[in-house]
Amino acid sequence: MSMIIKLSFRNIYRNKRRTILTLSTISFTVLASIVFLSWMKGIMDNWIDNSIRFAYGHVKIAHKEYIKKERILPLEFSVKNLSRVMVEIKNDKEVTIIRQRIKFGAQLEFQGKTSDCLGMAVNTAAEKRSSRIQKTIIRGNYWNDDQSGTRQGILIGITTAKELGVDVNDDVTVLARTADFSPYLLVYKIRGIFKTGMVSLDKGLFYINLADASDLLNMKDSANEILIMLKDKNKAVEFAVKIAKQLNDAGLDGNLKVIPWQEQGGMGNLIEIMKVMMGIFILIIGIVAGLTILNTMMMSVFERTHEIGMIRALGMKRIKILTMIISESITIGIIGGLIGGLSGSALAYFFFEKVGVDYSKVMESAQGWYMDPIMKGDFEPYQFVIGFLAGVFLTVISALYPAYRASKMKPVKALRVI
Amino acid sequence: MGMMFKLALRNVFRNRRRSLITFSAVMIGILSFIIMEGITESLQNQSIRMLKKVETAHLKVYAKGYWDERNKEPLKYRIADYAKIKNIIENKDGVAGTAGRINFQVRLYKSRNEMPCTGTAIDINGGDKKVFNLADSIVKGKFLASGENALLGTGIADLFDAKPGSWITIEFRDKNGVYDAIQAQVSGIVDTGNPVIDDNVVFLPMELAQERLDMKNEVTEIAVLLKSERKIERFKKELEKELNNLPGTSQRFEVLSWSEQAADFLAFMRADSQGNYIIVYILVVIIIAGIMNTMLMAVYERVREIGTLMALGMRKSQIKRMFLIEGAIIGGIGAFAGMFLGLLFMLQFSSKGINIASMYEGTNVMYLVKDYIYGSIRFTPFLLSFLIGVGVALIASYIPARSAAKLKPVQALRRY
Amino acid sequence: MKKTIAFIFIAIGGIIASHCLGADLTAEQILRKIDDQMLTKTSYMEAEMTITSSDSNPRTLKFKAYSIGRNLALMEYTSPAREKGIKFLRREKTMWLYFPLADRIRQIKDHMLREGMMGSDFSYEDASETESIYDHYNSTLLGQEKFSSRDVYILELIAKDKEVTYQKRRLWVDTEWFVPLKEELFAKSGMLLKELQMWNVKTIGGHYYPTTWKMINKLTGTSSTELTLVNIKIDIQVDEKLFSLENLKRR
Repeated sequence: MSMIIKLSFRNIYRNKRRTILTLSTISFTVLASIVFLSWMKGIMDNWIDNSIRFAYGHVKIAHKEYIKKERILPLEFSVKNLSRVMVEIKNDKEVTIIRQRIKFGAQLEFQGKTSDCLGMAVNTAAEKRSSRIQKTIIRGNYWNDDQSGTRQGILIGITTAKELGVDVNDDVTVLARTADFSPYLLVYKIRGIFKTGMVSLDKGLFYINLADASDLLNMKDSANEILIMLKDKNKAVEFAVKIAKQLNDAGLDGNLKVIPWQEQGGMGNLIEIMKVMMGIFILIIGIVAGLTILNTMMMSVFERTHEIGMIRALGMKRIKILTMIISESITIGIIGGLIGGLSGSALAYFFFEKVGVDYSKVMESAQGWYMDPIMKGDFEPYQFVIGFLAGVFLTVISALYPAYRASKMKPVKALRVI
Repeated sequence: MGMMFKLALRNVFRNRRRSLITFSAVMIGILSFIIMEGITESLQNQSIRMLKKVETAHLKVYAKGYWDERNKEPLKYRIADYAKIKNIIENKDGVAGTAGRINFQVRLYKSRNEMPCTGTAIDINGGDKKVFNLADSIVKGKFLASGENALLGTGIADLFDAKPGSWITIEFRDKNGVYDAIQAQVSGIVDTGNPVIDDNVVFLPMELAQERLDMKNEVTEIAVLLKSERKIERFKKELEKELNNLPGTSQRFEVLSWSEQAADFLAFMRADSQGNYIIVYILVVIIIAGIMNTMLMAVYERVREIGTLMALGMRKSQIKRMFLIEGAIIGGIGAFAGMFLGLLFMLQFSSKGINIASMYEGTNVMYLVKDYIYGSIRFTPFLLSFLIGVGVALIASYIPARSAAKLKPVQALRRY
Repeated sequence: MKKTIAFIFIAIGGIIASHCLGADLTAEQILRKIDDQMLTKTSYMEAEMTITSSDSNPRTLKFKAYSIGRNLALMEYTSPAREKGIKFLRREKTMWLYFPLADRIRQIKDHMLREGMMGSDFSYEDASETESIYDHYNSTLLGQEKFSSRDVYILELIAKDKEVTYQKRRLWVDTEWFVPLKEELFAKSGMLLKELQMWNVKTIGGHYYPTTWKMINKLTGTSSTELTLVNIKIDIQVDEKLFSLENLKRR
């Protein structure tokens, strides 16, 4: 056995050129696969993550008319009896954070300039733990946990800030239309300016705490959306069904809908589509790469026909030839897999994950999409394992046929070849 | 040259297995490219076609200043003398049809529901059908007739629970700011696949709108369809110049081509397709690596042969050329095979199409397609495929060919 | 001599009789008489406004209002607590709202004009009808009827220009008081937008004045607003300085 292995190594070493060429194909395929996997994972996760953080939560509870007419931000259709609804949810073990929100239309005004905005009233403590908006604040600061009362100011996006010409500590008037259709106007200090890089947030949006919003909108104990964050986002669908039934049983408003994130914005569907497309891409890469490796392996075997004939003539059994070639391919596969795997991982990690690619120019008009403008991959060790194993696997598979043919060679014929 | 080619060809066929495998790789690569290009092109093209069919036409003429204010005060900048201006445009060379439209803000009411929407008055008697094809998108009921009837986008119809025959109340401000409200009967419901229209627009007959908006012989835009799509840019410049120099009127105009009107959407499409082509680049690199690999090994396998040829007087450049041609042949055959299979796919795709309805259900669909997409067989992707196939093969063969040429005959022959 | 006196009596009787019967009154004259009643040199009143809607619970607001003619109007809300201190000022056709907590004045313009004041069915545009709005209409007397057990003239008004919100109105005017007991307000197309009812007519400072008003939204059919006026003082001393932006901010 050890002689076979020794032979394989010697063969590999002997024809350096051939080996290097074969290795390069395998390594590049492994590298490309790892980079591709990590890139796709990175951007998909980022998109899902941001959408959940900023728009969908893991599960959303809202009035069904609100959902239908969301674009006009109707305050009349809110989740009333908020505290009772919260009681039902709070004690569930799956729940990590509950975020009550009120989305409303308001006009901000500063020194004669106005801007029509979306007001996002949030439970500041809950939002801090779930949306990380506070990390994007470039000037000013977020609310402290003890600043959940009124008169605590608002956070505005950088684009809106520029439009209005305001800076931190300026006072802006906020004119909103309340649930009973009358106007109400209050003055708020700008406590901070945030820059997320996402047009959907930086432009036309401001954050305000719930107490201040209740004040402005005259909405006590109600919110128009409740976003629930769970321990495991994959349990969202069953959780939604469970809660819907619970609310129903408790006799609460039959108009409430409980929606998991996959059913919001058709995300579940889109993800499935993307997974299928990715699978197809990988398959195609695999086939093309496999074919080239096959070619190489075949050539490396038949190049040594004479030699193999010699060994056979000297009495080596067929099965041993087969084993020799296969072990050769395993070795090449492992080496190529390692080279490609390590370089691919390094590239995926140090460039695509750490640095990323800047798509901000393209995303300028991407309203409604929650993706960071600097797109980054997400390298995970399992990708290395997959790439590596795939490389070895492909190489070995490609070597099967040539190995078989080699073992079948008749010594006399083989010797005749020069 | 001919002998070179014959030699190369023979070499290719000599090692059938190897050539076969190499050419399969090229074939699959090319096939993938054609399929992906076909699908992307179809999605994008259909979206654009839908856009032109229902929303932008080829060009639109507006009163100067309209475009920037179009969302805030749509009735502020109007085109007066509609009939005359329409005639002037329509009589120009290359114009297939013109149709005026009025866009204005409305509020719809039906039982307990109310919502702000966009009203679009279309010239049903004056040629809207020559420029736009809204009728194709009708899914329930019929097209507009004269009088107090309206077409609703399917999103609006859902929200209001409206069907053909339902009555809705439409409230709006006329051009002077005076409030008015009318009742209209829903004649039909449209599903264009474009949410901007389906969720927002109520179509009304032009006469009704002009009367109620106090816009006799006025419109907010005139859409133009040209006979040939090639001349759009040039026509736009000419038209703008001509209209702004009309005798007998002080009106000023601006003309926007469909691509200017849809700038945002086009930007998005461009970004999207860029992403798709990454896969192609990866494949190309793999194929190059593979072919280069294979050919290099072939060169070393045939060292004696090369040595012999050189000793017999074949020059280095000829050796190089021979290998390059070999590469080109494999690439070419692979490309042809890929193109052939690609053609089969495209034939099927263009006649039966692919149903993407179930895939895109309920999503924030970016493209403006609803259910079926159809491919179109064009020359360019196939030409491109061929060039890529051969090009890639040539690039891949270059280094091996050079190595072959660099061999010294004595050394080559010595390898015994 | 006897004949002359008799003739004079008959003449006077005839004039009185014809006045009582209003037989020779034209539509324009009736409108003038409405103005005589409803248009005051100055006024002060306190009001309670209840907004009823099919979607939500009724809301009641209280306010006091001053006016000089029809061109200067000031309203200050006194209840409930949330609305207390909010002021509304109108000078001719321009209107502002003042919010005390913010200490800010905001001009009412664009799409806000159409909205109901404080969510009621009286829109800001309704409140901005100036002097003799009837100047903007061509009027026709359609006849007489009984309405709520009172005799009324029925008038139809069609707008002459674009200055008015309602291009067509119909009035049911009390023949004795010359107060419109019911008014239908139409859009240009003839569609009925709102209906205004007025009753509880009282005599105040020589005017007949309706003390309960009700505006019904006929377009949506889902809401109505009822206004009850108390403590009405007419033609009293009202300082013009009240109707200034500076005064809005003064508590």
